[in-house]
Amino acid sequence: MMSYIIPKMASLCSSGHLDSDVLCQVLSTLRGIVESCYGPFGRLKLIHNSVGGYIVTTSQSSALLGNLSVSHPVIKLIIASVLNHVSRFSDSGLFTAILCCNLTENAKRLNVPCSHIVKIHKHLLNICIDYLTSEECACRIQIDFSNSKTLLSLVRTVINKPTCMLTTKEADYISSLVLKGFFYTIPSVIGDNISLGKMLIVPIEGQGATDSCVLSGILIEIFASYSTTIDITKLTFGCIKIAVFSVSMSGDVVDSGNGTWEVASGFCPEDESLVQLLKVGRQLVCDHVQLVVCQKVVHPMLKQYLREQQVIVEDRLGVALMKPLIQLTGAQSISSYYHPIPPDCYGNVKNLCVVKFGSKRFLHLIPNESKPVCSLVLCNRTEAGVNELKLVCQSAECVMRLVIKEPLAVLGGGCTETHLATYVGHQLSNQPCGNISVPPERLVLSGTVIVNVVVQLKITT
Amino acid sequence: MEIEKLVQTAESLENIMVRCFGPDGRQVLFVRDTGDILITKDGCRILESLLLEHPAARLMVQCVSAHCSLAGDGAKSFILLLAAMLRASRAEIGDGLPAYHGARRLWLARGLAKLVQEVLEPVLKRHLAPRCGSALCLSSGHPLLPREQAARVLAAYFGGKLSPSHTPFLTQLACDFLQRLGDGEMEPALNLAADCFPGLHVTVPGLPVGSSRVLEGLLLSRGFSLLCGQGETRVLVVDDSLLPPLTETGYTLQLESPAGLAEARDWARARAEEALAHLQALGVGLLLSGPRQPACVLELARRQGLSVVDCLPDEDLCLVRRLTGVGPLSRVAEARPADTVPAGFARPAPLGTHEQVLVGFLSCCGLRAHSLAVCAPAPGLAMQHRDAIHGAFKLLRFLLPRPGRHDRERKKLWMGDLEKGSERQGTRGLERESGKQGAGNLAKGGVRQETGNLERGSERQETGDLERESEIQGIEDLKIGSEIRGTRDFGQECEKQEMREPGKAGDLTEGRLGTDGKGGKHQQPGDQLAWREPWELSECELPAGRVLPPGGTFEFLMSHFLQREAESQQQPDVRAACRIVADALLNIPRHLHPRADRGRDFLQAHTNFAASLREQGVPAVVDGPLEVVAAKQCLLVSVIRCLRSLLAIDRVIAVRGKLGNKPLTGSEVSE
Repeated sequence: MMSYIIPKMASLCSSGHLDSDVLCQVLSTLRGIVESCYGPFGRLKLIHNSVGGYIVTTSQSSALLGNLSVSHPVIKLIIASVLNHVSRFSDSGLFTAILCCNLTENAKRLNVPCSHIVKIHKHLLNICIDYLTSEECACRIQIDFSNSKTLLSLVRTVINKPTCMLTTKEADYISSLVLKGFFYTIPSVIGDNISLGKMLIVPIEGQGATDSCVLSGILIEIFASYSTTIDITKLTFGCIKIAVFSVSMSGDVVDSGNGTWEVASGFCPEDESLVQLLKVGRQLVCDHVQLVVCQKVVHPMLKQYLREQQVIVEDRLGVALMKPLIQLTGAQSISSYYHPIPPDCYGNVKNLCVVKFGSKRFLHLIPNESKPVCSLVLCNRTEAGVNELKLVCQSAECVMRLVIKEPLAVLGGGCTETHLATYVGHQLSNQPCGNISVPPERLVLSGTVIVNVVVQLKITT
Repeated sequence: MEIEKLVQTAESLENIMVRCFGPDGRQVLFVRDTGDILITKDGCRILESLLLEHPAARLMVQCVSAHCSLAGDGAKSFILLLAAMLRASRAEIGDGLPAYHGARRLWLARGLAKLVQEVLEPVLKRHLAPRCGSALCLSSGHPLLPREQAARVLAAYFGGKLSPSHTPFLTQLACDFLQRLGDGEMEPALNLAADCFPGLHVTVPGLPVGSSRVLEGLLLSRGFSLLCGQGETRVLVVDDSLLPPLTETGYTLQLESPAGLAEARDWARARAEEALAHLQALGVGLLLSGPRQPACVLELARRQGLSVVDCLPDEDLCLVRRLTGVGPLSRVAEARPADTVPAGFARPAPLGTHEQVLVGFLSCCGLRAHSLAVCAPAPGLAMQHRDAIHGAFKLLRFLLPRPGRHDRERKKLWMGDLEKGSERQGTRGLERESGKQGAGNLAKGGVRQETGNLERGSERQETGDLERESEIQGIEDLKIGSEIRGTRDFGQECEKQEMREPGKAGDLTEGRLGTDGKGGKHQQPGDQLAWREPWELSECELPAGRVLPPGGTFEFLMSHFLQREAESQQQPDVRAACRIVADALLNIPRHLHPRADRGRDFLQAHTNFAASLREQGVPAVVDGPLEVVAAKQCLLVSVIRCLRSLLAIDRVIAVRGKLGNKPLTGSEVSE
């Protein structure tokens, strides 16, 4: 432990440029790591530390780069930018990293001043972006939402990661599930305020990938065994009343103010809270509520009472589930139990059933009409595999959301990159100078470097 | 503390700074043992990131930080100037006994103080100002800052602070933001943007720099607690929970039975219901709240379709107040329609890492709420861009006339209408009195203090020189913006006395009576600054909006005039100070030129300058980037102040315990 404590020292300044040779070396090492992960035939990386314990097997850019410990500042900078890119666009982190390493490495090798290189790269970037956004771009595809084939292949591109260890058939299956789940999140009723619903991912380890499925509605994990003692078949089919509490029902006295309380002996404010809770419980039973869910803790006495009255109680749901739950049931979250619950606060679901995945059991809430909430149950053999699959599916969903925003895609498999490289090379040979103050031969030189970089990329894919 | 040691310290800082100085400067890379890295070209950030051992170096960095937080720019020039001045002072002090050294250093410090007080302003006004261009243009009595001029100033500024590829874009962005914040004009927005920029922006990491943009509406730092509609509505700001707490500090809740507790809860809820009903009657659709609103209030608000944003920090509430003129309310039941503000929309902000709300307040007092989204691939870079843009606004503020000028113009017109001399005198007295009250300087009741001042004033009259000096001191302090109230009051009193002198005793009484009667009414913002009026008449102030081309023009010119001043100067200590500053100024252009052939380029530039000066050619300010003369002047004054404090120190005392931020320590450091 002591070795981590370093005495405060005055800053040490060293002048001079960053050493090109060392930089090129570390850049090529990083490139080697990310390049070998890239594409459908990419390999996995096993990350460990020498102390032992937890290890990571991955080829995902966020997991891979996030876990690397590097010393060279330039590499740190590259990794930080890639991670930021991934956190926003969720996909193509490896591509960014490879391109970045290649560009830097090749720029370092050229004997061109850095300030010129910046200008050249900016110019070339503008050429690429102008071309990609223009109508005449040949590798651009307009996405047709009436045709699921394009959408499926788009999802498939993202799912096709080596880490998940999926066979072609499994990858196809998962892709179709993600797409199906995504379709569930599109609301069927279009109002003034359109927002996509939520796809909740439930990871299960120990099952095969083909056991994964998409369920409309929400899964609430059951920890205790008592829920099954209630005969679900007895519930009224078609309209099951639900109360959703966001307030803690543990019976503690809250909002007591800053002043002092003077309490008569024999009277305990907590008792009063419990009385209130039981009063609420009685009201719930009177209103024929059949399922009570609470974000926080429910007092055991109230739980007991409700259970005796054949009401199912689930507590400690967490804040993440609350929003989809409210969306699904149409209920309003109840935030105070000191006052009678207004009847319009209750929501309802069509049906309840207990489902079992592996060792876990879930209460499945099936919505009345089509609500934009669904659960994607992802199964895989190992914990690492499940985590990887979860990340992949999340980025696939994110890609689909981006596609809805802007329904354009480019050809995969290196076609776009080759095409773009040819285009840039052609542009440069036609009008090498552009409008920037860089000697033309240098521009062409670094232009060809970029072309080479992109072509190299194509080969690796 | 030996001067040799000081020079060494300053030079080691200078060595770091020269590498990133000027538009061709490179970036500096910081690496920490924990693995954090920082790549930057911003001088202030570099200095603050260094862990320095020598106390003098820390003092220098402290001075630089103070200067930068005020002026937004000039950290690197500060260090270059300071190092050069220390070198020149070392030469000036020369060899000799240690006892002699101390006296000599004090003598120099005094000379520098006199230089700032007596020489700098006249030189700037008389010699430099005619050679400058002006960035302002006058339209209907109001000075306007054209966008194109602002862009030219910012181009030079960003060039020295950020990597060149982002400079044009950020210049555009900053100008756009100012123009939209000021509803088409830049001036009204500048003060707000310079003061409150932290509340007007959001940094978005992970997007390219080019995605930065101006958003309409004010960005609040919290998300909606409750969202019930995004359209046009009225907004109310509160700083208390709508649900009264069961007890408050100093009160006791007496409970005998469960029923009592339930009753108390019912009572509190009824109050909240009343408050919300009142809000509905006022047509309020969005509630902004300082403290957290309890869940029960949110539930009630939802039923009424009232959106709520709570847990807002004080800065946000202040900003709302500045933009709309409406402050937070604590008793909602007493809200009047005038306490609510119309807003065009209120919706979740589209960018940002955490939830935020964008409220589109309608324009008010020439301001229209806008926010800036600053994007960059990495969070560190986004923060640097944010700081650079904030600094840009501070710099541009130097172009505007300092407060007080407007009043003078207006008052001149007004006073021209008055016929009688005695009447005018009386009014003037009244003006000044009320202005003084407005500024909040009058602590006690009027009459007695007034006579006290008078006596003090007349004492001063005897020594005319002293009074002038104090006046200049006052101006200087204003310029630096330091809060030395005492000096200000002092200067003001002297001024007052000066103005009164030609009048008769009767006028004086009249003025005083007038104050007693009407003093309270003059609380408008315009009048708050009226006390500055007399100084405007002084001859030695630089006109607002002066600009020069960059690349050492200011330094060459200033150095030249100071050298001439040194030749004609009578007092030996001021002469030495002039020589020191003139010499040091040349250090800036010396380092501006590329490192490889710096010597030759610098000499070349110097020769060119001398030639153009001989021909009396005014530097052309037709196009290209620009530098703000007022900011340069402020920098020079800050550096000289730092040098004075360095020269005045004779011993370093190391202590164990922690040095707190006591007011005593502060005053010791500054002088």
